[in-house]
Amino acid sequence: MKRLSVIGLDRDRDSLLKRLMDLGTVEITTEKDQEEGTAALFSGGENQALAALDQRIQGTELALETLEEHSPVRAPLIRTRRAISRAEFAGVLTRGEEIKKSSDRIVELREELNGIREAKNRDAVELAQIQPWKGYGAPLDVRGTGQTDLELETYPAGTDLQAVREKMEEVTDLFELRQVNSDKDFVYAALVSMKNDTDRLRDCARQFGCSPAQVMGMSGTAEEAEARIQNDIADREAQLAQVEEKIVGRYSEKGDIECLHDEWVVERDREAVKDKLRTTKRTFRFTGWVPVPAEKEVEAALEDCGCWYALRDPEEGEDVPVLLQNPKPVVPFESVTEMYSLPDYHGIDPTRYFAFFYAMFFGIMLSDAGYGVLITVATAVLLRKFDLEGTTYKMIKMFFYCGISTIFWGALFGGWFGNFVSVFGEVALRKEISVPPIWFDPIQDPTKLLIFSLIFGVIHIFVGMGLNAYMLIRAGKWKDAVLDVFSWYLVIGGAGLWAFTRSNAFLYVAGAGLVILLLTGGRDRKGFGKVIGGLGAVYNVTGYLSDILSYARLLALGLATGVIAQVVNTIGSLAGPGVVGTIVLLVAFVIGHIFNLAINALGAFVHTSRLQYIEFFGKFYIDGGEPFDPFRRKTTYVRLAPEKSNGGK
Amino acid sequence: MISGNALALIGAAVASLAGVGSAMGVGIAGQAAAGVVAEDPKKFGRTLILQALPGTQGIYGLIVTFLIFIRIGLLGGGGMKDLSTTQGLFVLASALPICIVGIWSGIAQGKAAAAGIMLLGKRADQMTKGIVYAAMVETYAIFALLVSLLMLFNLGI
Repeated sequence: MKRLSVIGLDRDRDSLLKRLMDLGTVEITTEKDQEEGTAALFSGGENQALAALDQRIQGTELALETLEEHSPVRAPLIRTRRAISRAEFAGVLTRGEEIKKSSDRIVELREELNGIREAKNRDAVELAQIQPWKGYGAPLDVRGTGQTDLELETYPAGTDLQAVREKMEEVTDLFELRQVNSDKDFVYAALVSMKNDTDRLRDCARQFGCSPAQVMGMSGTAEEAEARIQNDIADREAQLAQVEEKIVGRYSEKGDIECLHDEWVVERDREAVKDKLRTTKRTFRFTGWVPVPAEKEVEAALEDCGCWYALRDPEEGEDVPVLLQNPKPVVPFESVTEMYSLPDYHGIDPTRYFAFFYAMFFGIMLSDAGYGVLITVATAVLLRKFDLEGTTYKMIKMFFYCGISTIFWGALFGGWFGNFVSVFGEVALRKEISVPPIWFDPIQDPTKLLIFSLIFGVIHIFVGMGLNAYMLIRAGKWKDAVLDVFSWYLVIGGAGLWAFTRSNAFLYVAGAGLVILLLTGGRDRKGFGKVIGGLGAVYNVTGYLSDILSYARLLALGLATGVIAQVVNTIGSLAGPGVVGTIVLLVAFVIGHIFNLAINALGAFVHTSRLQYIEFFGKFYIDGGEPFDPFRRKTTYVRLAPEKSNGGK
Repeated sequence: MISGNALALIGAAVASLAGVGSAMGVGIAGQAAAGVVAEDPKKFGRTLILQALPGTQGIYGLIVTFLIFIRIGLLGGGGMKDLSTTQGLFVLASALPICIVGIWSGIAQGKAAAAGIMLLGKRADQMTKGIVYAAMVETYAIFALLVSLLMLFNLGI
C-alpha cells in the first residue's frame, strides 16, 4: 500500500472521481486532522442531493422487490451479477426517465395490492364474526321496534344465561334474552327490552361481562351477510389476481430497473465521497491508499486530470488497510482467512501456507471418494453455470479443491460411499466384489491413522512455528527465534522420533531442547523471575501436547464418515439379496448418504477451519487488519466490464 | 454369571447412549435458533449449521457401537464370537468413555452452540467465531472417542 495525497482544481474534480471510480483501486479516507479552522474546509451542502438519490434508490429497490415476489421464473440458486457492456448500460440509461416511471408504477401497484389485501383481511374477520349468528334469523341491523330495543350480545364462554335472566328479573319481567349460539370463546345472545328498561337491563348484562356484538349493523341476516362478504372476497381475489398479473407483466422491465438502481447507487457513492474531500473555493484535496500494483494506473489518471499528488510508504502507527494478494490456486482459501480476521498490515498473510493443509485435512476428515466426487462435480457445475464473484466464488472454488482432496484420501482409505460396492455386489449381483484401499482401511486399523494424524499435525504446527520464527528474524530478533521456536523443534521432534525408534539419541535431543528452554525462558526477567520464566516455558509442553493431540480429530471425523456410510449400507442390505433388496438398498443409499455427506462435510469444514484457527494461527498469526475498501462502482445487479483483480500490499 | 457376549452387547448399548448428550445439545441449540429466526428468518440456514454441531457425540457413540458389533461378530452373518466374561467386561469398559463424555460434552456443546447462535443473531459476520467456540468443546468428545477406540482395538478380540 502507498499513501496518496492529491490536490486538484475544482473543475477537474468530477472527472477525476469518475475516473478513480472506474479504476476502483483507491481507498479515499477521511482525515482525522484536527487543525483549528480547517473544519470550515470540509465541504457540505451536497447532502440534499444525497437524500434525493437515496429516496430514488429506495423506490427502485421496492419495485425490484415487488417484481421478485411475483417473479414468474424460479429464483436462481445463487444470485450473480449480470455482466453487461458499457455501451449497453449507457443505452439503457438513456431511457432513464421512462424506466423511473415504470419503477414508480410498480411501487404504486404494490401499494394497490397491499390495499386490496387489507380489505380482504377485514372481510375475512367479518366473515368469522358472522359465523355464530347463522340461524339467528332476523336481519342483523334490526335495532328494535317502536317500543323495544334489541341488542346482540356476546358473553364470556360458560356464562349461565339463566343467572343473567334472574338478575334481570330483579329489574323487570318485560324482556327476552335468547341464546343464539355458543362456542369455546363466547356465548352469543339477543336481548329484547322495553325502551324504558334498556339501560338498566344492559347494566345488568354488563356485570356478567357482556359486550355488544361486532356484527350489529351489518345489513341483512347472517346468511345474507355471509353470502355478500364471500362475494366480496371473491371480487377482491379477482382484483388481486389482476394486479398481480399487471406486476408479472412488468417483469421484463426488471433488467432495466436494475441498471437504473445500480447507476443511482454509483451516483450516490460519488456524491457521498465528496464529503471526504476538503475544498477551498477553487481546489480540493484528499488522501487515500493505493495498492502498489495499481500505482501506475492511478498515477496516469491523476496526471490526465492535472492534479498534484504525492505517493509515499505508510508510516509507523498508521492504520493501513489490507488487501490479500496470493498466487491464483491459493486465492480461494483467502475466504478462510477472511472469515477469521484479516492479518495485520505488518503481519503475514497465512493463506498460502495453510491452503495445502486445508484441502488435505478436509480430505482426511471426509475420507470418502464417493462423497469427494459428489462435491467436486457439484462445485464444478456451480462454477461453470454461474458467474460467481467475491467470497461466494472463493468458497465454492475452495470446496472444489477440497473435493478433489477427498477423492484422493477416500481412494487411499478405500471408501467409495463406504463399502457400498461390496454390499451392492452381494445384494444385487450376488457376487463378492470389493474395492481394496490403496493404502489401508482406517476402520480396520484406526491406530495407524491416529499415528499419521498426529504426524501430519506436528508438520502443520512446525510450519506455523516456522512462520513465527520467520517473523521474529524479520524483526531482527533472531535470538528469540532460536531460543523460543527452534528449541521446541528439538523437544517435539526429538520426542516424536524417540517414540518411533526408541533410540536414546533422540531422547537427548529432546532433553537438550528442554534444557535450553529451562535456562533461557526467563531471560527477560530479573532474579527469581528467571527461574519462574524457565519453568513457565517448559510448562508449555502441555500446550503443545494438546495441540498435537487435537489432530486426532482427523481420525475421529474420518472414521465417522466411514462408519456411518457402512451403517447406511448395512441398513440398506437388510432386505436381503434380490430385486426388492436392491431397490431398498438404493433408497437407503440416496437418503442415507445424502444425510451422511451433509453432516460430515459440515463437520470436516468446521474442524478443518478450527485446526487452522486454533492450532495453526495460534502459533504466529497477528490479525486485526482493516479490509481495503476502494472507491469503486458498488453495483448490486449488473457488472460493467470485468473487474481486474489487482491487489497487493 | 452373566455371559461375555451379553456384557459386550451391553457395552454396545452403553456407547450409543452418547446420543443422549447430542439430543439435549441439539435441543438447546434449537431453542436459541428458533429465537433468532423469529427475528430474521433469513438466518435459518446458518442457525442450522450451528445447531448441527452438538450432533457429533451421537455419531461418535454410534461409531463405537458399530465397531463393537463388528468386533464381536454381530454383523456379517458369521454369528457372534464366544466371549469370556473378562472379554465382555473389556468391551463394556471401552464403551464407557464415549458414553459418559459424550453425554456431558454434547450438552455443553449445545450451550456453546446456543451462544454462537445468539452471536449470529446480533452480528452475523462473526458467525465463524461462534462455530469455533462450539468446536472447542468437541475436542474432548473426540478424545473420549479415541480412548474408546484404542481400548476396543487393542483388546485382542
